[in-house]
Amino acid sequence: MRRESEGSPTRWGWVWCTFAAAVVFVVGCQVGGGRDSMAIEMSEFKFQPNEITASTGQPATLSLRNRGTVVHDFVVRELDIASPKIQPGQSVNFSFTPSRTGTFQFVCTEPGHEQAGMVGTLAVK
Amino acid sequence: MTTRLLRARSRPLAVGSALAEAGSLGGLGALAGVACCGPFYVGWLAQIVFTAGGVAGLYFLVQYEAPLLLSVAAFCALAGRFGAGPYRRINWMLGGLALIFAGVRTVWDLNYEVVMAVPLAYWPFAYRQPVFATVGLLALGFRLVLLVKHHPVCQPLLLRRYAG
Repeated sequence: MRRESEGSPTRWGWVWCTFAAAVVFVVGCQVGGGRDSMAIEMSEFKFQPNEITASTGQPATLSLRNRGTVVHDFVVRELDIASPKIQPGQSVNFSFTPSRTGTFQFVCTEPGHEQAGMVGTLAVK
Repeated sequence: MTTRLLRARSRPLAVGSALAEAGSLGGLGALAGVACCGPFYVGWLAQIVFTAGGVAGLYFLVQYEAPLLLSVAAFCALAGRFGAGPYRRINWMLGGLALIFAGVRTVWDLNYEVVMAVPLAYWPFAYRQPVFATVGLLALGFRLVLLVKHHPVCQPLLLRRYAG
């Protein structure tokens, strides 16, 4: 009689395991699965890596680091995305949400930097 | 007679000083045009430098910034040596500034963390292009003002003597 009211330890174990798995799943979706994270290093005159991917309608976080000796920035003209200007040695975390799919070019808009080859490709799926 | 002789002797020095100043200001201007940023927007200068030098010029300016700054300092020293009065002081100051930035850039190339650890060195270094542009334009403006001021046309006494 007493065992029926308290339930068996095995059954409670399963309940707790299921609950913990559900919590891990929900938290995991919110923290990791819902956001794209990328790191880009900038120098004269290149982005490293120069090919990145993101998902439509999903916030993406870029960690931009300027390892060069002059100021640089990150701009996707077609998507109206622009980072602040980043001074030599500085890092900036910068978020954006791509509004449509396609392949877009990102550039540094300092005069001459784009022409010198400071360009890359953003693929939005 | 003596005045004429002195003038004839000092003319090459004045020309040399002016050429050296042109070299130093040109160098500072080119280095300022590598990037535009900071409180003083010098994008127009960057555009001129890129149009004149192209991609190769940009690479050259970025790669050899420290030696170029040393050259600017040498030009300033020449101009300071041959110049007189206020010209001399301006050129010595410009030369000192170029020398300091050449040193900071060299340290940056060796270990950038050292420069970043010293805010007094890092922030002028990060914003050096606007600093070069501002200082260069001020020096040029001052030079032009002095040139006009000391020109015979602007000196009534000399004019009167020539007229008489």
